[in-house]
Amino acid sequence: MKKTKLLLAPLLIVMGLNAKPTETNQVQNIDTTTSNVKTGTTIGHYQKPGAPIDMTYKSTTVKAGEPSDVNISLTTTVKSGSMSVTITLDDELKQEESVSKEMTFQLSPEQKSYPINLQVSAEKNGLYYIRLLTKIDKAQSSKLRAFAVPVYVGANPQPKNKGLNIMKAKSGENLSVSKAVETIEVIND
Amino acid sequence: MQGKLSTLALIIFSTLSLNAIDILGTIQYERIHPLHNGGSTILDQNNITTETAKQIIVEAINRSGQAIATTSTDDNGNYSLTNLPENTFLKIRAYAKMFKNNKWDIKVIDNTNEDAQYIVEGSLVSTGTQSTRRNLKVLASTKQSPPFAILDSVYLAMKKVLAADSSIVFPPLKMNWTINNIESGTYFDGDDNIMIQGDQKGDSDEYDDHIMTHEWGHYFETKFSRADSIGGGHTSGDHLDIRLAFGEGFGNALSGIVTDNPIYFDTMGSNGWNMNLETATHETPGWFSEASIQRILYDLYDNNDDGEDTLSLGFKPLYDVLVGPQKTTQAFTSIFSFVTGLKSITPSNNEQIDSIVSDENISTIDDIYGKNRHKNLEATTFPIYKDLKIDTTLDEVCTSNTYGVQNKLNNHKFVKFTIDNDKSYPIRVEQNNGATSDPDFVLYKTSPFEKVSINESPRRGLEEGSFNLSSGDYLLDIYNTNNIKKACFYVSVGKVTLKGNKISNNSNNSNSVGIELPKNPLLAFIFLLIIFIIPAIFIRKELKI
Repeated sequence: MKKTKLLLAPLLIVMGLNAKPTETNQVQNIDTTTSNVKTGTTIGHYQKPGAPIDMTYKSTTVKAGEPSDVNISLTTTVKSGSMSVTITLDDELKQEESVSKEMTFQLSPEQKSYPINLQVSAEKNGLYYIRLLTKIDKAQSSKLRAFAVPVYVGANPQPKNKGLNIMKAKSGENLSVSKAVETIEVIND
Repeated sequence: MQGKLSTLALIIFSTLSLNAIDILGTIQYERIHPLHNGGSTILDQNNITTETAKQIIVEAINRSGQAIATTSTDDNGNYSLTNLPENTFLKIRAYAKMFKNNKWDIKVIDNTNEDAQYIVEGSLVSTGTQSTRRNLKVLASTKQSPPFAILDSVYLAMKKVLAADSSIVFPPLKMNWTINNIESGTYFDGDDNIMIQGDQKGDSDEYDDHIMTHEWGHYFETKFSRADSIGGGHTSGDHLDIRLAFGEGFGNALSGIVTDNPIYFDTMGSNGWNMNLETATHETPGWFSEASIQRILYDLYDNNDDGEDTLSLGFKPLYDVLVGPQKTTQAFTSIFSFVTGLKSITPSNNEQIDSIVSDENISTIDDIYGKNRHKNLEATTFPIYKDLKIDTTLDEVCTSNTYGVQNKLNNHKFVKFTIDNDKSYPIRVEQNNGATSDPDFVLYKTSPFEKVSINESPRRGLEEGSFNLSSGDYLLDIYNTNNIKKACFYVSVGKVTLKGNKISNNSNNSNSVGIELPKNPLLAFIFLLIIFIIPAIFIRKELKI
């Protein structure tokens, strides 16, 4: 037994040398395998001009009345000054814990991200939103960027306005129809 | 007899008049205007004007829902549907769509409702026996005017281009807007869609005409010029990748050029911000700054002589550069390629162009590759394009994240080379300061400019491939996907003359940092002897097993 162990020792050393390195530089992935957790990010996506801020979120899908954990992370290339955040919730969303709706983060080169953790609930099934208005104040100018984080309550909730006033034209084209204000008058030659 | 003839004439006249019923009218919509207060801008609900819906499709629809006549409004929003039957129930339908055969095809759709086309309608009313005027007006308060406001912004941009080139044909474009676009963002998808944020409780862009024009500018650049921009987040104070800086600076400048208003704004409900494209404080000016590029382009265009700007070229020369030398440039699209192209088109203005450019802390631009830059930037910045000879290896091609990650200056490095003989060439990018990066590269042929290959394996420290290349000039865009602080690479096309120590060219397991057995069997045996047998004998002896 002892013999076997000793003979295995060099082999284990070689195997150890072949082990994979720790992947310290990999971008962290948010767990997207859990079906009741919705994730999203603006990183790497095209953005219109505005404050240089990206947002990543993780939002737990819950049943009506249950609290949903919403983890938001803001990142910016700006290393100094401040970033202010104003949070607003859809009327139907209730905040479970007391978190200030107005926040200011002092930006520093060391800090990689600025977290905001919320717990919210809704009495009825639906797709609700937490909105963030972010602003970076610099010496010369201020720029804003708005974000919206979805909160899913119940299975497969749809946007509130989906399917309103939709009809099919004779040509088969889908039409979104509205009534215009109309004035009619006879043309007198 | 005469009486009978008169009656007959009256009947004939009456019958003819059946075809003489016309419906004329005007289609209008309400636009909410911005209110600027210092650096902030909101939508002013007290400043709503009635505007005309220009060049949109209008139809007369009968009881069974069929269109029996179709036309378009003119530039004053007026339409005319002629030769309609009398005493027939018809309604007027106006589409948020502009279509002119071989000219344009733009529509606003609800991307969350089966891409439904927005329309507004009047009532089903009898045509009677006389021509009528039926005017339709779309109200802002009912959230029906945004599709028409969006189209109006697009049409203004198209008119600016048409004034420069009346023969231009705009490819189809879909503007995706809905109040359900709460987290969509506003962007051009690179093909035929512009997504527009429509969150009525947060950020909506339908009345932000500068944003509409900015995104349309990306469409224009893609379809008529060339857009090499790599996208991603950006702002005016950033040190950006030169391709992104030009694309965004162009979009911003175009918004001021089209509206003849240098105040770019973005409203977000009761909040918002603005910037003056011309007079904003110069934050880190340079050829990598979208703000510098927007100021240069706007100053080249505008009639307002200020500071170093004594030039008023109008849009035509800028358009000619965009669809000419900028489209065919062998470098990536940047301020270098644009200014070089402009100087070739309007050589008499070179001095004034240099003045405008120098006002942004950019030394004279004389070539598409931005040679001879002398600026206080990270050393690895220069040269912006490195020259590589076939069968040699470049060293010290370094990416860095000093100015940020993904799309910032020095996240991507450019290498150019020329192929003289058609054949297969290995291309190899190998890190020479460790093996922690994930090097990737995109290969372009530059005349005509086309992407040859994207190479993005997850392999650590090395990216390589073999490519059948025909003679001509090529560009490599080299980047480090995992954004480590600084990664330097050996780059070779053809034979490798310099090679890293850490990575074997033939290694398939890129994530391994272990020891490989020598290929020579004798050496392999000696290797194993040293590793296994001698230590085992030694240990046995020591432990007296």
